[in-house]
Amino acid sequence: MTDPESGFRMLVEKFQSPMYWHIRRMIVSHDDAEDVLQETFIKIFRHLDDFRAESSLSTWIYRIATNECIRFLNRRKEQAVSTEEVQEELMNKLMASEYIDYDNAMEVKFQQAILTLPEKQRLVFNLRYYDELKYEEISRITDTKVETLKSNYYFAKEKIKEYMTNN
Amino acid sequence: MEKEFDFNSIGKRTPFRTPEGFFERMQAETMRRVAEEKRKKKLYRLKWGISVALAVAAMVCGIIFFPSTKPEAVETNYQTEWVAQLTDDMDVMDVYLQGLSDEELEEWVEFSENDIYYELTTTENLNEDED
Repeated sequence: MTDPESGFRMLVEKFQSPMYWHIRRMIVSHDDAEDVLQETFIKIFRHLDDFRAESSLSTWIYRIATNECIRFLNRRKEQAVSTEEVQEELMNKLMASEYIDYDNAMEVKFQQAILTLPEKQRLVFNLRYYDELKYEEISRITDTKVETLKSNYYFAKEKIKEYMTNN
Repeated sequence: MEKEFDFNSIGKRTPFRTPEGFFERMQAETMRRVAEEKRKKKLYRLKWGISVALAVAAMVCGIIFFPSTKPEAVETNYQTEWVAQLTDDMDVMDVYLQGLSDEELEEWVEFSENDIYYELTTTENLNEDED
């Protein structure tokens, strides 16, 4: 007899690492990323029956993880005075958190540059640059037109270049 | 002129790290929470099924005993006692369900979800086929 949980266990095994890194790059702190990842898998488990093969499983999972990240950041915004304050909070976490390697100043500075981007640009940049997703996939994950995503990615790269050159 | 930043100089490297054995622990914790979630789901389905069965039983009793020939005061008392008994039964059922193992719950859910009419019609069809 097949274990009904073995399929889900395989799914967790396959996706927990890429989803963790996707969430971590958005949320910065390890502890917060861990909570959001847990929540993501519970949501996936609850709604697995609703999954339709209109998009790939990977796209669907990315979408849930992304929504959880946005939900987490929005909750922070509710508690903070402004979006800038949340950005500042993320920047502070980057500069003083556990499980961040401060020995490589260039890598930390690169993350600082990414954190200066508006949330949407940051999301698009991370999905394209680190996860190498196609624009069509990012479009399904974020419900945004491909043309808009392309310009978001272009401006994000320009801003990062500028930050890295001038700071 | 300042040299333009080259993305290839950094590639995909990030300063983010994880505690040792994090992914193994994470997977175990996720599976534990999923098992808990499944149990809650089963309990909910079972309670819902029992509530519906009790409500149907109450309606049937209502239909059978209405109109009643008993005096009104006695009738009200009887009904109040009956509702109190029903509430007590539900509490006892809650305690009983909490004490069941996953396997026992699974059996209960399967049993309560069996459609008796489906079973009957299938049996009838089979009998007809045999004739």
